[in-house]
Amino acid sequence: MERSFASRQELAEYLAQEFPTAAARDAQISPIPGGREAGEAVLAAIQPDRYGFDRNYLDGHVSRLSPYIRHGILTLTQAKEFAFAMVKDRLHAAKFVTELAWRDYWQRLYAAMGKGVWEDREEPKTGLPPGAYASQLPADIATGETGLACIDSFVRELRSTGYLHNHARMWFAAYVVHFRRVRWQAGAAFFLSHLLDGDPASNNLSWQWVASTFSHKPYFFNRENLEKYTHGLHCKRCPVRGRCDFEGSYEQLESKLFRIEAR
Amino acid sequence: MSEWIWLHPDCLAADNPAYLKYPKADALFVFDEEEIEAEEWSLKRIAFLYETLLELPTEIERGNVVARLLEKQPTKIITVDSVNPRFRAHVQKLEAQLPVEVLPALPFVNYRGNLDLKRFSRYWKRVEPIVFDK
Repeated sequence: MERSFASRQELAEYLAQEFPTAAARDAQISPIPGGREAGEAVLAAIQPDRYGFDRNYLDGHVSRLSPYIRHGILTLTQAKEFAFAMVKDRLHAAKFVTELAWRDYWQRLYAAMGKGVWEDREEPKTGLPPGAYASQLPADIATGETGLACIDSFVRELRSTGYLHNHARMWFAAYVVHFRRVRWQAGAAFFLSHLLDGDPASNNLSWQWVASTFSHKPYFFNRENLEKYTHGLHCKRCPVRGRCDFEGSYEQLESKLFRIEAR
Repeated sequence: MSEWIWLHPDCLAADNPAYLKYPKADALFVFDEEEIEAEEWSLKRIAFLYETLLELPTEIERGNVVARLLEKQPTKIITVDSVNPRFRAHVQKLEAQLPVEVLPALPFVNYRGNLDLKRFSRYWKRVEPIVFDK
């Protein structure tokens, strides 16, 4: 295939011709560039100490290294050594390095599970029968037209950049699986289609963690939680502000979403 | 007839073990059309990989991975290990035809013995002291 392009636009047009079915799914290319040079620039900008404090906030100091690590452009060890070299005490990079270890953990599970990452690893703990979950991702979710400012914004970002903050991935997955009652596999496939760091192990097993087929309880959230970690970015301009699906306490939402028997 | 490095989406660095051990070998990356369709990739991932490949000394093709590799009439194929089941299936098919050297990827942690992977906490209990040199 061709190796010389005058611009990214020219590359995008060439690839759309060469891969018409992929382009038909979504022909945008990400502003995140590929390549080692780009990956090293991202690595040089990490702030592992601050990451430990604010990584759950949408504007926190997350590294955005995942597309480079997933494709072996940078290794986990390179990222770890770089982080350790940036801090006086290794403990100040502990959170960051623990997250790198998650990738290693998922890969080890992938080696053991193979294609089994597409199947429930454990029984779900939602108390709902399998038939309660739809098998297809509803169109309004895939196109970002749910009317929920947060969810639609996540979909637009995913489709245009191929990246989403981890917390946004968790909220989105909880919305799909628990609030809309869609099988986690449908959401996982949607993510794999668009994420630059799409990896069947990290992706699917994280969806299973949310769904509770790989954790001891389902993950879900309420509006207060999302508003806190986004600084109200979406809620402020949401058409259903104050009456969205995510309103209420955790106890109220839990009883609405699940059939969990009191122990 | 020569030795060929097979690059795949898990080892796209110029200092991967295959390039380091065989600096003079030719290299080939094949966009696996079966994988792209199975995982329904959008153009974003393809473009990201393509930009990465443009920095590497490699030929780029698309189609059936095993067929494209065999068309090069290699005497031997060298690649870097991956846990992806699709990679493993390709290796098996290639091994039926010619020698394949699968080099280990650099591990995040050298742990001898079986790790309990039931939950991350169990894995981390064993691995954390090694990662932090405790």
